[in-house]
Amino acid sequence: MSTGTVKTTKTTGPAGTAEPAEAVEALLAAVREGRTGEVPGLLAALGPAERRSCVPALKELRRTNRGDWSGEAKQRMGALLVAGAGCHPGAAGAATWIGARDFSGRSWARHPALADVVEAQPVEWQIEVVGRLAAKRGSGWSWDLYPLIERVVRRTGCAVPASDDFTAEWLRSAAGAENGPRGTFTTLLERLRTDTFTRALLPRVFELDDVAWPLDRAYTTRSGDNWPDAIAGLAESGHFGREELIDLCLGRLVRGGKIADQRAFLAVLTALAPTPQEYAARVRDLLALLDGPSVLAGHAQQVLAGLDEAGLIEPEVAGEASAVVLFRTEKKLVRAQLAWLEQVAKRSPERSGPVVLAAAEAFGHPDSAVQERALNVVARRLKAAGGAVLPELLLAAEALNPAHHARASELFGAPVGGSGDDDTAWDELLPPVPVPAPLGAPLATPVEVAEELAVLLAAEQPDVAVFERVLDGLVRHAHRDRAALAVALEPVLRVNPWQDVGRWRDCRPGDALYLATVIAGRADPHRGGGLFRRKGRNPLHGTHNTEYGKVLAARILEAAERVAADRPPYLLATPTDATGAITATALVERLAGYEAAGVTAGPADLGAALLRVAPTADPAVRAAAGRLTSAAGRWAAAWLRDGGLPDQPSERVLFAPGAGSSHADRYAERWWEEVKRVAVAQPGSAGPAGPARERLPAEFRALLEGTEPSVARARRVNEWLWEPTAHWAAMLPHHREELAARWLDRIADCADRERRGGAPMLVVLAEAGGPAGLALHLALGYGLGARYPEDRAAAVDALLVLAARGDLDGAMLGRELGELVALGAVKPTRLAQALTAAADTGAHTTVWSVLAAALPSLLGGEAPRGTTDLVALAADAARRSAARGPIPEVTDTAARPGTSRLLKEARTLRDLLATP
Amino acid sequence: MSQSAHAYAYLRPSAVLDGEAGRRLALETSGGTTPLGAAAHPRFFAGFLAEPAPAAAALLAVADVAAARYYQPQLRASLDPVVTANGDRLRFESFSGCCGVYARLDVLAAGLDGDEIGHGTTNVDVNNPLREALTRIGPAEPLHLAVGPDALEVTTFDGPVVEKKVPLPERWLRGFAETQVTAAGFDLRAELPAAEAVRFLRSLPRGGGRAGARVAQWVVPAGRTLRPTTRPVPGAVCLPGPERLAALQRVLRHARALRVYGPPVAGTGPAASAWEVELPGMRLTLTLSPDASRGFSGEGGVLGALATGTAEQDADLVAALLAWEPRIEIAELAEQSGLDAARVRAALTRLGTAGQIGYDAAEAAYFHRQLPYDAGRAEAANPRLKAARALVGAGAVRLEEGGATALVTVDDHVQRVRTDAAGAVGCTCLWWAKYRGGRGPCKHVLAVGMVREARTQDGTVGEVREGAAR
Repeated sequence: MSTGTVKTTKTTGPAGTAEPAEAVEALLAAVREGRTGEVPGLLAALGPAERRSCVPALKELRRTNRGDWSGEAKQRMGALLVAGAGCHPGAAGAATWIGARDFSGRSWARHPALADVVEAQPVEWQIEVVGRLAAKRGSGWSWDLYPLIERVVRRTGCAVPASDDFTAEWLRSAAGAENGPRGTFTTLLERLRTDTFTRALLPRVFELDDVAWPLDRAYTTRSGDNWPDAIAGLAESGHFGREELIDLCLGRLVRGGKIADQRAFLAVLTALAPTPQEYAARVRDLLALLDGPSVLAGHAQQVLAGLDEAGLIEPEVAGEASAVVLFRTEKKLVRAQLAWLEQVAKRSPERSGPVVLAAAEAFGHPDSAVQERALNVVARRLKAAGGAVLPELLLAAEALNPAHHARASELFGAPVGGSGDDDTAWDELLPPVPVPAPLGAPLATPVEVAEELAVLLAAEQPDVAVFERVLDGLVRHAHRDRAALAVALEPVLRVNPWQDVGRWRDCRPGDALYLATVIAGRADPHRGGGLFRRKGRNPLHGTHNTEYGKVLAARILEAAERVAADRPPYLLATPTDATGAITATALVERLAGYEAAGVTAGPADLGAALLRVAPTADPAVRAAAGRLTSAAGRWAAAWLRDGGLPDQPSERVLFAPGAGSSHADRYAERWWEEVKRVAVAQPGSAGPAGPARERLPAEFRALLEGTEPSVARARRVNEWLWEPTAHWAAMLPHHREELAARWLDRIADCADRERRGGAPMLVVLAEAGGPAGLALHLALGYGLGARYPEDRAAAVDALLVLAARGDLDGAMLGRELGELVALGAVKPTRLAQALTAAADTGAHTTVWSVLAAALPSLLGGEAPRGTTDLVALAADAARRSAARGPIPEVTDTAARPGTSRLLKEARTLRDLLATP
Repeated sequence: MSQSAHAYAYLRPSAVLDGEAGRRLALETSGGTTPLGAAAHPRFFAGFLAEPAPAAAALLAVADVAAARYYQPQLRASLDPVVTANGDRLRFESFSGCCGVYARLDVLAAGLDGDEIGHGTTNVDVNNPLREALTRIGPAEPLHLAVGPDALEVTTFDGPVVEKKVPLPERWLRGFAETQVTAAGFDLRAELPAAEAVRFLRSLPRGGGRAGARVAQWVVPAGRTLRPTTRPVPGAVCLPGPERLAALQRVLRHARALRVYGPPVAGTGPAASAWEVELPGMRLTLTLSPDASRGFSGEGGVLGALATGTAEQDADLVAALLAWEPRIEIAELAEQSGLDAARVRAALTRLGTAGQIGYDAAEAAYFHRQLPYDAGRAEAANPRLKAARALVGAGAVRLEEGGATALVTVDDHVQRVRTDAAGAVGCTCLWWAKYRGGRGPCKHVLAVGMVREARTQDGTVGEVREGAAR
């Protein structure tokens, strides 16, 4: 394009012959039509004054072009860029123009016409412009201005810009073939040797971030064709000072940065291969690296140990290095450090004193095995170290795990961990029993209803309290003054219009908006004539409604129907606390109010209220209920008298469907074929019928239908649309076991299928009412073995809340956990992390009660990976909770020959349990 | 984003120098104020650091925060830390580029051994060679610290050698100042001994991004440690974006205790929190905004006070009484200024937003310092405040019958602002629905507040006039 157009420009614009105004017009026309290639020629025909006169027109054109997304407009941008570069008289203006963001879209800066125009300008102007451009920030991967700047700098020989972005771009492009003469192959090293930029830019490379990718890359396998080799090569051939490069590289590593960058610069350092003498001169850098990322610390440690062995550094360095390394958690580094210390003592026994004191730094290490190793080193070198170190060792030994106290006492000849040890008299520390938050007073004014509705609609996960108060508030104020409520709702409804179109999602709390829309007269609840229930007319029923969503829909729809008809003064089913529970007193009062006002209870409202009402044995409340006369009142009285909804028994079932049991799911997967779970079946219940044979509405009965583990249940619960919320739990606030049985597959997914975020509802269940049976304990077990830490954190929360409320059956949980580990559903390492978190908070007795029941199964067969951690945790919890009484499996394991950590921990535990 | 530029001018780069008298850490200063007025290169301290290695690590942690962006890290942040000499201690402050993390190192008298500590606030230079040198500092050798050049050096230098011009975003400045006001609402929530502190801080996720963001947002004191929890139970502290505590890893080896400060739990939304590591003779505190993506600048907790303008004169009065006190005693100020304690507090809040005071949660007290930037102007240009003034100016606010509610007309729609008898407010707009006042009032509430204030003032003026006429 460019070579062809240069000829054309010469014919259309012979310099100096055309009238200035015509030449300006020709330029602007070329710009408008996007003929970028012609611009340099047309510019050449203009004098400085004419060029300057074009600037306003170009600016205007650029402005009008901004919102234009047509192909022509995109072409025009290139022409605009080139013309502007030629017309701006001042370097500052030209640099701003060329570097503007809107020109970067199609890499117009790489167009040869721009280079031509810039080249035609005075040299000082060029240098000034590229200097300014180089100081601008690049956009990341590829910087279109680089070739232009590079060209000018190389041609004029001006100072090389040293900005970060220019350096980074040089780093990326220096390796490119364009730097070598065409047709010949050169390695990166050869190119760097001849490149005039190398001197100025290579030191800057050590100051850049995010350079791991170009630095790591090997362009070819030839030596010298990757950055580390090339930099080492430059040092070797004397193009660059070796000392300078080593200092730059170590300085960079010491300063720190992203781990990938650090690795890349470590590779450079390795390629430079400093000699022991060079390293010895920089011993403080090496010591500083010990605090850095693992890989750097390992390298520095190795070098330092070598230097120490060669006697090139002060003996104190070993001690200083130990203080840093033994504080780290990486076992590999710590072991290497202890080995280094031991070598020192072996080599020069006179240094044994400092060595044992340095090794004692590891007594406080979080890993008990590391402590033991350090204790071994100290034990072996204690004799050579002499008695002077004993007081300090004794002090350090206080940090040891109590399991090592006996040995330390024996070694150091004085009791360790005797006084001031509060471990034996540990009180079980559990969080306070949560008190359900009261729901709060009904919303007092229509404006407050509007505000709360806005809150409900804006929240991603609205609170139960917000939804229930909005629903109740809408009904209340529609009863009092529907017109005033409609006015108040206006600002909220304007931004949240009701979408009365086909719905595919479940009914959610936010669908209370439908009720508000009906109140404002913007939707008609299609009342009467049986039309309402007709399939497809229900505005809240989508194609994927869950049984919980259907209950919610039934409540909202009923309220919508009634505000359009008999306008009840309030709702019966509004809970009195945030778990969803209604006190019996409140329900009886509300029903009495309905009777006094002559209002009939809506079936869905009454059904929801009955499932929520707290069982009561208070004769006064029951008597008050007995005085109710309406049909709803008499049913509620009977409900309270007979104890309400019966608890469903949970039956333990093994769920392992195996291959070929069903069709694949919508993602053509058959994941359930590998699943092996302990699950729960419940027979179902329809709830007690009323005195006049009333039954709960169908939506509510569906909540209570029987359930048993099946592929269908697992699949349904696995759908991402199926997401339990606190609102679901608030439908059955006194029946968490039933909820747990139905949600079990989802929580089990967190453990055996490593799904994320399925466990938060465990906390809600732990705080809910009703007996805690097998289903809840199983759900908790799966949660404790979940793959992701936030799920485990939720399970630990739930465990502690259940324990604090006295609802936890530690033995049942332990037995089931043993089973789940045996089935492979729960991994012991994850379980150990969760239970450690619980134990750390002081719940040792609880943790021991769980582990004591799990150990027989864990140790009964081949111990799976991670069992050691659990046994160690069990030993710790047993010691702190002063547990007694041998467990046969522990005794058997402890009696097995061997020295593995598992056996050691088992022996510790056995001894503890055998203590009289 | 509106922003101006800030120019630093240092006599020479800060450096660790090896001399005959041992190793010397020379921190260079630029601009700022002292009790004697503005200074180009103030000197605040010369003497020895009692614990060189922890001090060096803690200074690096402060520098880390200054150079970091914990949200959208591809953008740059490059503002120098601020140092304040409060007479008995030195405070090094920095604020991350994302406006979400505030770091402060308090070097207490026990951590310093030298001349008198001066008074004043200035910037200190941090550069790469300094970082390297600080990292190399070992535990054994003594380290001399000089904050600012001595008088002789100032006269012998021809002029500043290090000049840096950096963009100074308004929201950064606003956030820096407002962090202090947020922190003033914090109480001590937990204290962990060294071993537990190390264990807890090590257990935090290091990486940012999605993996980090999803991990437990709350911790609750339990036994000797902090337990992550999924919900804000009473006594819990929010830990939003735990990877933002990364700077504390630098000083972990020297930590003696960890103290956690936070506001009382209110609602389920995230909250800010402060994490203080006790070091020998020093305290390093990181204050985190309620979300990695949510800077302190947008919190707007003080907008109500700013909108009314009653505290303005009080603030001027109180400001004149401050002289770089390490602890501002409200009772004393009240006595000196003749204002009551509540008005002094309001005045301090206002001064806080102007960058004139900081808050030390460990002391539970404000301290005086003047950010070496023009911070008051930034606060006045708060977008929400500007929008509210525009609404008032356009006459968009109409008080409704009964006075409890007001309609605010914005373009083609209305929002209704409610004020109940106790003075609590609410609005129907999305901002209010999302945060319910947790991030300060929305522009509608501010506008209504301005109109109401104007009404009452007119009313009293009118009554006075009537009285005079009689």
